[in-house]
Amino acid sequence: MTIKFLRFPYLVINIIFRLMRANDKVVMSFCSSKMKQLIKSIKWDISEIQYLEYYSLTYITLGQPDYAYGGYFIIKAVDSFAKNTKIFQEKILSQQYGLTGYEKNGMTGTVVQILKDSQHVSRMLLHNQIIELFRTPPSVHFELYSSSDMSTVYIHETLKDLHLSGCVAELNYVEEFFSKAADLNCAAVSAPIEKPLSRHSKLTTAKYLYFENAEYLADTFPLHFNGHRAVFEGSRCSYGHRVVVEVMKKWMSNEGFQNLQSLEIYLSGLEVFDVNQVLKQFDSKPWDPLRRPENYGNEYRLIALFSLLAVASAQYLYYPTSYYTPYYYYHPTVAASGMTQNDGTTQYAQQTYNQQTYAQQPQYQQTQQYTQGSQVQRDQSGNIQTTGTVAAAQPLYYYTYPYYYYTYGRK
Amino acid sequence: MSVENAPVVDVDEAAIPVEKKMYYRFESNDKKEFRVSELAIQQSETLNRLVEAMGYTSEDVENKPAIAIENIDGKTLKLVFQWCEHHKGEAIPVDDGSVPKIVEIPEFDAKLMDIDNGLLFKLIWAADYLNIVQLLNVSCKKVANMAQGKTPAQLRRVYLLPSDEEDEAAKRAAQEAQDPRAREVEEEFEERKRQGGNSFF
Repeated sequence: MTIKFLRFPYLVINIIFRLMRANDKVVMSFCSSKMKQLIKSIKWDISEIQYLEYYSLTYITLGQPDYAYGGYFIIKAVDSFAKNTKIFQEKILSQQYGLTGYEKNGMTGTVVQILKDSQHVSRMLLHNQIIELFRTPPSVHFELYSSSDMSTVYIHETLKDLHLSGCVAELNYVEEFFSKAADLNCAAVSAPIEKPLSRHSKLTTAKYLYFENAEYLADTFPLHFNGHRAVFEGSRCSYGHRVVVEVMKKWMSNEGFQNLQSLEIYLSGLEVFDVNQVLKQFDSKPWDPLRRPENYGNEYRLIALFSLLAVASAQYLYYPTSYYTPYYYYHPTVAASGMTQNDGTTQYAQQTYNQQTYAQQPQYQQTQQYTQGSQVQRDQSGNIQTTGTVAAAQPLYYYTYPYYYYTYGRK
Repeated sequence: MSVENAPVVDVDEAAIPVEKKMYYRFESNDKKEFRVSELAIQQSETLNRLVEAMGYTSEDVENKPAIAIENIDGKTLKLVFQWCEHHKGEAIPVDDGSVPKIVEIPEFDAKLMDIDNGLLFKLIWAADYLNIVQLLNVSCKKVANMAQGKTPAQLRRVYLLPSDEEDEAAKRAAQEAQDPRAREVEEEFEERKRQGGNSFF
């Protein structure tokens, strides 16, 4: 039963491709250069490509698993191709792939056999073949199940989002895996780690970091984090107070955490965290409603959801309307940041005057802070003084990607 | 409703319906005539606009000659009108081109399209020409399903896709057929290049 596919009008071909599963489209692109160009010209609706390395198999999911027109490939490294396998040879490096159809639970996929001897090249070329089909490449995530053989893992140089899942992982295994990404963007670790991570760990360089079973990691690791956002779930943090205080002090004195947008530590439930005890450790004062409107609309929902016991976030100091606004909201004073004033006035006087000024001109002061990203104050003569950078520029897309990744990590 | 019972009626064997609905008459390129209800015609944007523009009355439909559809044969047109009669009154899907709609092939449609691929090919052409969105969707879905789990070699066979070599050969043949001199010039150029000349002239 044959049909003259290329004799259809372009509009019809377009509809057929849109109704075709993603893995079938990729296989069709292997047929000829003309087909590849044709598939490149159509509009793809693939939200992401996800790699899962599970023991000896690699699953490549195109689109979302429950998506009607998604599809997947299963890559299997073999010594020689199985009988009755149709061999496809690509033209760049003449790599061979054994292809067979696969169907389970209504989802169809394609099993790709590759030869063990040249598996790294084969994996790289297959990845390139898929990515080249998109005019705008979709985001790619790589997940490794911790019992998989690391020597066979191939991570393309452009991949930035890695996830380690499975059972307890050794420290070296974790480091080796995340070191495979040259520029680590998102790192999610849902497998418990055997030993504490070192201060020079690759994970400190991730922009977004998520631990599902942080255990005792939150005792020291947050102090070495250089990225934008870190979430430590399931922490059994013995020194929770100390970590929060040290992070706050370092951040306020501009000694570290210049990129930090938020740091979240969720205790497992048995540990006690007293916010008042922490607040005594550095100079802080209650939130001034004249300066910013009080908006704690989501606080109880948040607490109910996550059993939140401790949240230390640099972002709160600028955004009281944040989704994660904690129950107690304190604003650090200039004294706490350890900066000197050029006009020689006392800190107390400065604070008092600032409060008065804020009360008089709240809007003006807010604008200055948002636009400059630095702490702006007025001296007694009313001149504006910038006492030093307090935080990095405001994150504009705070709840988009990181939040998505967070929920993804919880799966 | 089975395919046999679908209300498409050939003129020579049909009894004119008792209902006071308007039935238009269409003629295929092999001179077969069909009567199709006004509601069924609404499934086809092309035909719907055509009959609207003609502004036929009930008398005109009977007295004037059947509307000719010159590039669709009787066999294909029968399938098209059977589909339209079965789905008459149904909402026409709007395609905004963003996310592909989930298309499922209903039982009636699956039975209707249980035909050889040559006829399916013509049916898709007809659905595209007559702009019957849902028929085009289900028939395209059937063609898309043919690719499931196939290897490149199998796909080439099913969809009659030429390989790169065949494409190249066809292109060369087409060029030669169009301009025999072009080949000679190309060969002459290659010859000079081999001899070490940098310039053709």
